[in-house]
Amino acid sequence: MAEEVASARIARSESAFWHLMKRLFRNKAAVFGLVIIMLMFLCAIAAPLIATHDYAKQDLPSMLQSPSRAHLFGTDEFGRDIFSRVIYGSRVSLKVGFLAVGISLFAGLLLGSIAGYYGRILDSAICALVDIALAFPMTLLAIAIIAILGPGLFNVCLAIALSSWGSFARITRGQFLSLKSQEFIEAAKILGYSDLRIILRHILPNSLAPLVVLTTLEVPKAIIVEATLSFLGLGIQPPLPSWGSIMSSGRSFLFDAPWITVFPGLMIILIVMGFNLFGDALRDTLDPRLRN
Amino acid sequence: MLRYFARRMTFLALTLLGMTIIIFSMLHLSPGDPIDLIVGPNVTPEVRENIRHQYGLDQPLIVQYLGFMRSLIRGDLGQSIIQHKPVSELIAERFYVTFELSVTALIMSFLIAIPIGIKAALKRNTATDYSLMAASLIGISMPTFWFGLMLLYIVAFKLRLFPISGYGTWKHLFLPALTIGITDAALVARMVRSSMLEVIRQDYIRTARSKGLPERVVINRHALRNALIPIITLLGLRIGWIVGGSVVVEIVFARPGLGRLMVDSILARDYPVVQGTMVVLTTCIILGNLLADVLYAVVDPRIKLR
Amino acid sequence: MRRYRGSVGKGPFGVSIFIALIVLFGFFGIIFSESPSMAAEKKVIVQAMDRDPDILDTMKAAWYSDALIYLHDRLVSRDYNFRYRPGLATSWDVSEDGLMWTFHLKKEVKFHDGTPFTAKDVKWTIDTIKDPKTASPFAGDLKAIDQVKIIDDYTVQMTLKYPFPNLLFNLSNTASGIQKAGCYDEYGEDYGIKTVIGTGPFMFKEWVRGDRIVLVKNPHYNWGPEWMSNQGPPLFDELVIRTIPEESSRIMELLTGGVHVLRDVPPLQVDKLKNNPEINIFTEQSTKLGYLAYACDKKPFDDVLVRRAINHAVDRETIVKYIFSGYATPAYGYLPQALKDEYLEESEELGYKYDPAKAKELLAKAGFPDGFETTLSAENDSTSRRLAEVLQAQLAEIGIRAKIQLFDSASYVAMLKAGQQDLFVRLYSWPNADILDWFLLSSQFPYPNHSRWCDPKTDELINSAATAPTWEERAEKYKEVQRYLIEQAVWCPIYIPDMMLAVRKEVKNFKIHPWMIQYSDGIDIETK
Repeated sequence: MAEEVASARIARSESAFWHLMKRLFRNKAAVFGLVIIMLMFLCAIAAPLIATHDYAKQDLPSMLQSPSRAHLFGTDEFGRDIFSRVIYGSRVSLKVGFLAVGISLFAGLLLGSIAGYYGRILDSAICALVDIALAFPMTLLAIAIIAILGPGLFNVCLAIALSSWGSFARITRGQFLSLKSQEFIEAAKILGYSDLRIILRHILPNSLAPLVVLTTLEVPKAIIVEATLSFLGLGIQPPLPSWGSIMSSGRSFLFDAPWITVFPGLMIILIVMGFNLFGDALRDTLDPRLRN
Repeated sequence: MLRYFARRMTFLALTLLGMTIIIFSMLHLSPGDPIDLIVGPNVTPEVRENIRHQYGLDQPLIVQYLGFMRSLIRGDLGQSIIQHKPVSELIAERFYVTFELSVTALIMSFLIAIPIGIKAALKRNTATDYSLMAASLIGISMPTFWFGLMLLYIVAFKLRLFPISGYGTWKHLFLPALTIGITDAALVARMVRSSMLEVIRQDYIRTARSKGLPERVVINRHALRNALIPIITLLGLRIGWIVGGSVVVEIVFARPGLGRLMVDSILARDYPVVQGTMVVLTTCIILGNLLADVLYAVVDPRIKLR
Repeated sequence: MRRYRGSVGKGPFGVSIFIALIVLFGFFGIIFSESPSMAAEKKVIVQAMDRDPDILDTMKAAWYSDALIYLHDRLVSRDYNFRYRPGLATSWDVSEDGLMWTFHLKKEVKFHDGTPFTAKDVKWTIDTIKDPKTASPFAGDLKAIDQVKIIDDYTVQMTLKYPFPNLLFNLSNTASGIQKAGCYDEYGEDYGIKTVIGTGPFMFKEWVRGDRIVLVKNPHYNWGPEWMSNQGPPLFDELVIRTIPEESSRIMELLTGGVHVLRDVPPLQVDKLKNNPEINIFTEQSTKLGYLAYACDKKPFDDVLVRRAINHAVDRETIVKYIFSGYATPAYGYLPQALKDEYLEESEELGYKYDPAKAKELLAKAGFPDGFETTLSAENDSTSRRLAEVLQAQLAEIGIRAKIQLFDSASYVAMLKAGQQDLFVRLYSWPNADILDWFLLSSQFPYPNHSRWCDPKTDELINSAATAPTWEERAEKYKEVQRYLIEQAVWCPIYIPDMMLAVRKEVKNFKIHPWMIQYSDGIDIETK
């Protein structure tokens, strides 16, 4: 009986899904954001097709050239094509964005559900931990963690995740607390289902909406933090082209080759804007309560 | 009130404790022997053992941590490995540079954000609102350091209105503060707008309007005052972000502040300095939050500090 | 608040922003107003550096700020031809066996605090450097000195343990700046941070950590070396040495007038700066040498065939042309041409020319027909980074696949000390042949002997050169050392960069000096 109730809820939300989508796509900002995100994904996946040059190929005689038909975004200090490097850079940014947020989503879910489901001491302890983690600014904490781990792509993801898991944990816990006392969960408990099953089959599916929204809004933050770390020389190491590291080396030529710095920055604005637009719209549609 | 403060102070202490544990582990989790950082590789094993003993590195970790905390409480942050000076001295030299930048940036941010947010709310769903919010969206999406580089290139280098780097006069402060101020204002303006919109929807505004008061009076006397209150809490919440931003912007504009000290020390593996700067920055951020909470209570007597 | 709040509701939007801006500027105006009258009259020259010193003390510093050159005088000075000339010592005599040096000191010289300079200051300075308690990094360079004796107030005698013709070089170094006797007792911990006392043409005013060092002219100075056109006080009032870590910021500051003098102009920018009517570029041969080195005690670099192969793989002409825009000379030997006496003329003949086919052949002979994988470390400044990436590509041609690792300067040294290097790029800057002692003696292992070259024959050759009784014999013996090093391919020398200074047009009478800019020698600045 409880099983039925639970699946009924899910089914209802599935039929509601299309309704939500319709509402979402009536929002012009959301569509615009989604188009940008899709384009970026296309760039990342089809990078070898879009790029006009080999991103690592040096061509010293044509170094520091301003944007032209041959080199759309100009060339860097090795004569490498900035356009191709920026296109390949989208791979790094998206990879870091999703991997970092993925790790922090996982950590947040785990700790948040433990706190929300079991309560008591575990809850207080985890809540205190969340409060502490959220008290630090993300960039600063990520810099500190990189100081321990050392630079590199995976370490950057880990540093970002360690500084952003708090909000995921907080939201998960809130969802668990409000769902835990609802009838269908109580029923499932009486039926003697295991905790894991209740969490995975009944609670989690019903608390997805705010997590999806948060994920969409955390990815752009992660992208910016990655760029910042790489810019400071603490992130992705060359020759892998990350937008942050392209800007970091372009900075030495800012006054006579500003295009090296300008274009990766514009790309970041574009992708972050895409995620923000889409995330905001998603939040308004899915879960207006999350608005602050 | 007292209980509230007790709670906040406990939180402050807890946060600092968590922070020190993370930071303390840095020296011990990081690959390599900390002795190498202190003496270099070409010394005899006896000397190494001597120094290990002298620095207490032969003790169990927990004992070492307690020792670290003991000296921390006395204000002793240890000795810089590279610069051969007490960390507290290095930090004292640079603290003001970061403090000045952060405070100026915070003021700039609110001076820019409040009028924009209010304007957008009052003109909601008009072209003014849309263009202001589009601008703020772009502001939110910019990496701070990139915006700083662009200001540096256009305003300082091309237009020659401000110096390119350095520290000392208000001219040196203006561009870095503007960089953080504008990027932060973008977010704050959005919050001001929604706070204002919320207030306008309230009953007492409707009542005031139905009394036939002129719109200007309604807005100035009733709406604004109430909309500005939650913004004070924002002040506290933004401090962390602004200090984080200062750290990065200092690198762009070559300001000799804590941020540059910290990043340089990370690159030079001078962990005691990294520890020290992190402890100081964190304390500042938490104290800033606390201050904003208190301010909030003072401004809005309806809110009893819980 | 009330005023501007009113304007929000009624006035046009621009007004509220305008008022906000006025408030903003007003706020700055009040807090940071400075008296403008002062700034206009002072004549100030600003020089930019990439880093801040750890301490302003010649005896303790690990890295010497330029400021130390102008704060102190040395017993011996170096003229525009890099000849050793009188400084604080008016003359010196050397005993027949080369073991006893007597210095006659200048009279009427005063420290910045007014105390007269005498022989006891010389003795105190040298004794303190040599005292192990000071832990001076420079102590080793004076190890030949056995003791310093005060004959009278204006005569000191130095006894050497062995003949050491290079003494004049060491006594004319920044590190040998004469300090006031007992300055540590007098000023304690503050010395070198809040106070510096010397006899030099400039006096210490302030040091804002990480930002600038401000020196003011010494109005009483009239003991400049005889080879200078101006022996009196400097012609301008203040010398500011600014720390600007970022290369592009340094150049932008120069272009906009925030900095007047820039040492070490990045070669890529030279042509652009030359075309700028506001800037003069001065170039001269430098005493620097850039090289690719390898850990000689590690496989496969312990094999001389591999080392020679690497030497043949490097296309020095291309590097000079594109990385240095032609402002460098290809290097085949171990010392730069500017060291006229010790430079080995036949370096290029003996050295290894670009010949990838031969390089491959040598590699195959050494047992690596398909090359090998390794790492290539470099510092993270634009020139080294570019050099490393180009070397990576050139080595790949002969099958050596190197992964680049970039380090900032401090951790680069730490990495070399820890012996983690395989291939690495390095640049030295030193105006004396004893740089070979520094880098290649086995007693210097593992650092600064970072190529990890421990070889009895090298030790023997170098030691015999360093203790040769006369300057000429010393030079001859250093040539022998170089021949041997080339044969062994201990390094892969690549380039000798030109010394390039960019100076704004306002700066008058600027002359290039092979060692350091001589600001007190008639250099002046035009104020607008």
